[in-house]
Amino acid sequence: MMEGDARCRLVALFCYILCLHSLAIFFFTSGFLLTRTELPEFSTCSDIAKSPCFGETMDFSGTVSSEKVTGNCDDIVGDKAFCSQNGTIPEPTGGGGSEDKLSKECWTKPAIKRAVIIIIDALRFDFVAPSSSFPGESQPWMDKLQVLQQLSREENCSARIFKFVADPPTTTLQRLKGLTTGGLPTFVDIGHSFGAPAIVEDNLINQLVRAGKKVRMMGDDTWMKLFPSHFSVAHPFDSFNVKDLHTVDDGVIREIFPALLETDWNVLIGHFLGVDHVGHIFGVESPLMVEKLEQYNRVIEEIVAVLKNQSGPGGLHEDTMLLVLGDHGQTLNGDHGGGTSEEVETALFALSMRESPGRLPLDLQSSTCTISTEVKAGRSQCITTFPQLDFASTMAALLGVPFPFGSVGRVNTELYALAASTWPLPSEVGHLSEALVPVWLERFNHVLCMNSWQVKRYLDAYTASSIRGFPSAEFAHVQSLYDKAQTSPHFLHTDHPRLKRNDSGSDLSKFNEYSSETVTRLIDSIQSNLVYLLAAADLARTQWTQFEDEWMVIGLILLVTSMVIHGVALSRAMRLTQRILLSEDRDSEVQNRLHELFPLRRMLLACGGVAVTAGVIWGLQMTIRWLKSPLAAAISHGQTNIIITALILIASVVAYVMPIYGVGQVQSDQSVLGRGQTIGTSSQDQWTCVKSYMAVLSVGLHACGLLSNSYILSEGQVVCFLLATSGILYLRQAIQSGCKVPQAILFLILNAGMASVGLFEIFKDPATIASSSLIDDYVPASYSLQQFVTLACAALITTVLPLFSLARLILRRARTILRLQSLYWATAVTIPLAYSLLVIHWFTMDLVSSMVVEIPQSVKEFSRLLCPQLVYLVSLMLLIFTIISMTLNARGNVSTSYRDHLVEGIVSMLAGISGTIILLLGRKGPTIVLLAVLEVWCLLDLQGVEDLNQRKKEADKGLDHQDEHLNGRSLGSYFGAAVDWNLVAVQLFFCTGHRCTFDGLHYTAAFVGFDEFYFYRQGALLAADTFGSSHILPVIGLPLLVTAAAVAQSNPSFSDGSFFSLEVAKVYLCYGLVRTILTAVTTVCVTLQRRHLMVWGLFAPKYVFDALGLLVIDGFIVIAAIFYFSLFSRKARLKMQ
Amino acid sequence: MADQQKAEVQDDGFLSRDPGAIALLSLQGLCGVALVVGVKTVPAYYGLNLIAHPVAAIRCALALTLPTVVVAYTLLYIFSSRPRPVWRCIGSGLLSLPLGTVVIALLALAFGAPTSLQYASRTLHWAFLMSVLVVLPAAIVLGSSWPDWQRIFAFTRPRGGLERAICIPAHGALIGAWVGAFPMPLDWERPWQVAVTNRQGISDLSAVFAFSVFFHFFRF
Repeated sequence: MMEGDARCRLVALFCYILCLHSLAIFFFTSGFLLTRTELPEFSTCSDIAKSPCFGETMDFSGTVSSEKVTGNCDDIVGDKAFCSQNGTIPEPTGGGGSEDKLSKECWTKPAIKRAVIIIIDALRFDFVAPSSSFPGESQPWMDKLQVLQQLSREENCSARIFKFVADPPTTTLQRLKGLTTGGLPTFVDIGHSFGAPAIVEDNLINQLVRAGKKVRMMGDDTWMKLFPSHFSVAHPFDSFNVKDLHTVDDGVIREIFPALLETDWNVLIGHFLGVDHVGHIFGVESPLMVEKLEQYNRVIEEIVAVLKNQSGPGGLHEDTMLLVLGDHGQTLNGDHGGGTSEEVETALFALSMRESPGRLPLDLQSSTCTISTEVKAGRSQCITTFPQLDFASTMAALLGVPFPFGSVGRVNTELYALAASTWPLPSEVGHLSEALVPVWLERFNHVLCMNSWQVKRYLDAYTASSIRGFPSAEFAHVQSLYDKAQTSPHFLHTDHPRLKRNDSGSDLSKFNEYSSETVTRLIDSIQSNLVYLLAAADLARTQWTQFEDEWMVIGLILLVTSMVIHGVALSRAMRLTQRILLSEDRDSEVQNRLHELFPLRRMLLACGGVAVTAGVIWGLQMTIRWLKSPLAAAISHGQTNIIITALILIASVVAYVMPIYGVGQVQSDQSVLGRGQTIGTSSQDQWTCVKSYMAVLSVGLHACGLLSNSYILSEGQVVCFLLATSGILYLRQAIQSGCKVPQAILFLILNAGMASVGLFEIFKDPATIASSSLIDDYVPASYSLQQFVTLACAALITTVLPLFSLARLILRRARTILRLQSLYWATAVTIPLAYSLLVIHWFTMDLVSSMVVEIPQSVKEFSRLLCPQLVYLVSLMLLIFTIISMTLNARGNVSTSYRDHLVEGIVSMLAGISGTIILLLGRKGPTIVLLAVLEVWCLLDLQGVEDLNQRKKEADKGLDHQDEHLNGRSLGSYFGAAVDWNLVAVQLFFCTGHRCTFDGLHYTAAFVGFDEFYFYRQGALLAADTFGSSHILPVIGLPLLVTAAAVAQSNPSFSDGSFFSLEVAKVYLCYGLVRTILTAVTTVCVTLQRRHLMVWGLFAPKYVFDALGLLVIDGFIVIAAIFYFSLFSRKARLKMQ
Repeated sequence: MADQQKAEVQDDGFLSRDPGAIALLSLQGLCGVALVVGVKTVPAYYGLNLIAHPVAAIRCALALTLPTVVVAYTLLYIFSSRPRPVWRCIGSGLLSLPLGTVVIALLALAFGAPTSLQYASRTLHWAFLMSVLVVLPAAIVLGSSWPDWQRIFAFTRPRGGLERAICIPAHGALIGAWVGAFPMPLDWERPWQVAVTNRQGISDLSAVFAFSVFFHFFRF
């Protein structure tokens, strides 16, 4: 009875830890990982009819007749010439262009026909802005883009420099996404794509393409990842090689000048990468940066010259706008990704080819103008802040396409005013230049009205459909601002009927009717719309770019408390072991101790108490509304259920940790402890001491390394280093004891081999080498054959040989280990079968790709799809067979010890899984698995060294060592072994080619053996590839450490089932503790570094991998514990009979 | 030297004269100074440094350290009047160097030194310097007696001053190299990283020096 109870309690303990960890990670993640749901809706032309901006009489649907559109157009803006844009040649009056209008016009009237967008990656704001606007000395990299400064100074009405402010994460991909969608891409955009980064949300490029405009792209190939099929012409250049400073830029320069003279595009995008790469490699201060900037200066000068040449009336670039912008800034070291001002501040330069005739009223200018500087020329220049968020809306408004559905930006006043076509033509206004402004204001007000409506529509849609909506109070506030903006007198065309039909009267009479009162009301309306849009953007920003610290703190506290639980459980297990060994009668005391392992009743009581109390308080608060104390307000304001959950968890932890002893128990406890202590100290070897100190040091160093981003990058090497240290200690120990020296040396060699296995060229997938070289260019047959032979040799050496020796190893050991006949035969049949299927699969794939031999389609399909599927099937069957036969068939081998039984189960399970794992790992798989198996064997063998050594020493001293071994293995040695085990596991993760980044995931592994995509099946394969070898296998194999110890100590207690399961539980607790410590440290580092440059590049992915890994490990510990303990209990019952 | 004649009876009954604290300290100090001068001062004089020109700097260090160590430990051996001729001492010491270099280079590989040929020369130079500091003194004093080597390097149980003078600097150099290697992955982009490691110039070798000197003064 007692044994069964103990096992149940241990399993419950592991479940409890799993639960604690998952809640901790859930809390931390929801505070830290900002998520956003991508909505699949798109804006269409006809949408705008639903907006209130056209008044109740408007029916602006896609099927509307051309007359109606014309009338509509006249109603709103009262300006035919403005209405009929975007034909091939602008017409002064809207004569016969109605058909054209119908197809081209949408929400706004196009103000520019063509846009040239030059993106300079990592353009710092101080590269562009005049150095006089910065305090301190002028740095060498300032004032190098002279052409931009000069243009903005001399042509004040048609050229401007803006301070372009990005939102973190400031990486190119996220920024391009933000620029084109007008949203705030977060770290995790929950969307419908699996791996591919293509934008599925509505975006500017998509809208342009839908509107029939042609977009040309040249430069950074990130654009191609985001928009695989949108561009009419694209010249992508590889952006991956950071060391290459010139290829992309030269390519863009080569392509852009001919393109400028062509007519078949509306938007031309040129993306230069040089500055970013120079920054990454040499830093901003290097002379190369100055060189690059000077090069850009020349290029932009030439572009401007070409554009100006063609910008006369009727010219190609009459209504063209040139935009030079950066996607993000960079620090002086060239890093970017974070949210410091250096990284988020970049520049936007806009040059309109036609000078806009009017000036904005000061009311609107001052609202956005922040930096005002005196320039040498003596004219004051104003640099406006322009959030990148607003880029998509502004460009959509200027180009006359619908605003992207998910855009939360607003149309920028000054950039919109910069385009000359947004102003009425001077010919219409005549000499009444003061009438320009009211007309412009009315147009702009209309645009803003649509903008507000679009943003409101998005916020409503997002709240309705996303996983985590906006906070209700703030959302309501923003909605009220919208209502205010809508009720303010902006329906000028309904309020002032005289403005409505202005096209019939003369221009003069029309403009005379604009009173100053109307202008004020227009400005008011614009302002209230702007206020709404700003508030909406802020709401979105708090939702998607700000961490929620309380949640993070709760998560961290829970993680740390789970470490305490691990520690307490370990020490209780140690004491229980001693008691079992020392006390002759295993009755009441042991029973009490057992309860302490997992005091379920006490914890339930504590949890229930807290839950009831919290519920009562909450209920009181809910019912008695007048209870308005600050505490009650805080509780009702925050998330009540979260606070209650956290309280319950903490209560359970406290209940677990706090021991409740009777007086007599304490005394007996102390006496037993005293005895245990003396035994412990006498058997405490110097070696164990050193080993456990080294283990603590190694965990500590590993954990410290996680603080630095460069350590996270090179974690694989760090782990190899620590493992080598441990290997040296084993070697020393082995030399001391005079045995197992070869194993220690082999361990060191294998460690180095594992570390460098990824480096060898030969391990690259032969298929990819062959296919890339054969498809790219024509290869003569003889060469191809020769190549094929070398490839075959390489494949033979790297895959078949290790695979063969692995199978031989397994089968040979299986004969001695697997005592169950059925199990042995099952293994002996399935392993060679699975491995030969692997070989067939790989070889046929190679043959197919090298195209030397013609292979029939059926064979090809068989080896490509059926072979891997068969391997999965065989693995699964062996696994299930093992589990069934182990649990049912224990009767057959009552004679075998617990140890042998355990080893039998572990080995056959590992052998079963190995086929799948090797297949998923690819051609490196066999080598790595072989190395890993040998390394683990060395490690296990070396575990016995210390005991041998100790026994030898005691024999020398003439001590009677019967008593000492009763102690089982000390905590220190288990901890040391668990640390080494963990290091091997982490090393496996890295040497199998994984990295803690999302682009490091092996997406191809998900499609081994399958062509179609099913989320769960492919997800499971990907998870098996990512976590299989480094998380799941180590957990399954962990009890081998106990069995290794059981070999070394010919200990009578190991024949006791409950003792054995206690030992297994101790090993699992140690391993879990090590993993928890590392994950907790990662979490702390992520919290500390959440404003670090690389937080989204490195720390956050590392956290995600660690947290997921911890959960996987916890889950598999529970499963493995249930399986192994059930083995023991069944066996124990059989023995009793 | 008055202490020179002081004899010590070891527990294995082997009679050996210890060279005495002053002699040990001064000769050890000489080795340490030679190492520092060789690693830092001389390369700095020629405008080299360990990070930019590792091979040249280590050659400088070797040019100074190798003769100093040979002379110092031979002198110590002579003072302690062990029963082997001096030329055999020096011979076994010099013979041990290539072997030690290979072993230490292999160890470096086990600890994750780059395997590509491009770095082979650097690794070998470093291993040679390490073997001058670790293997050479032991080879001069102990010759080829395996139990003695085992006692010093596996059990860390030196007997008498002379063996301590081998054991402690050797362990200091090894531990120093270990400690010095650990901060290598740092990319020096944060102030605390620079503070922790006292500027980029620190590498495993200066750590070797620091630990050697520390252990000298700690012990004697």
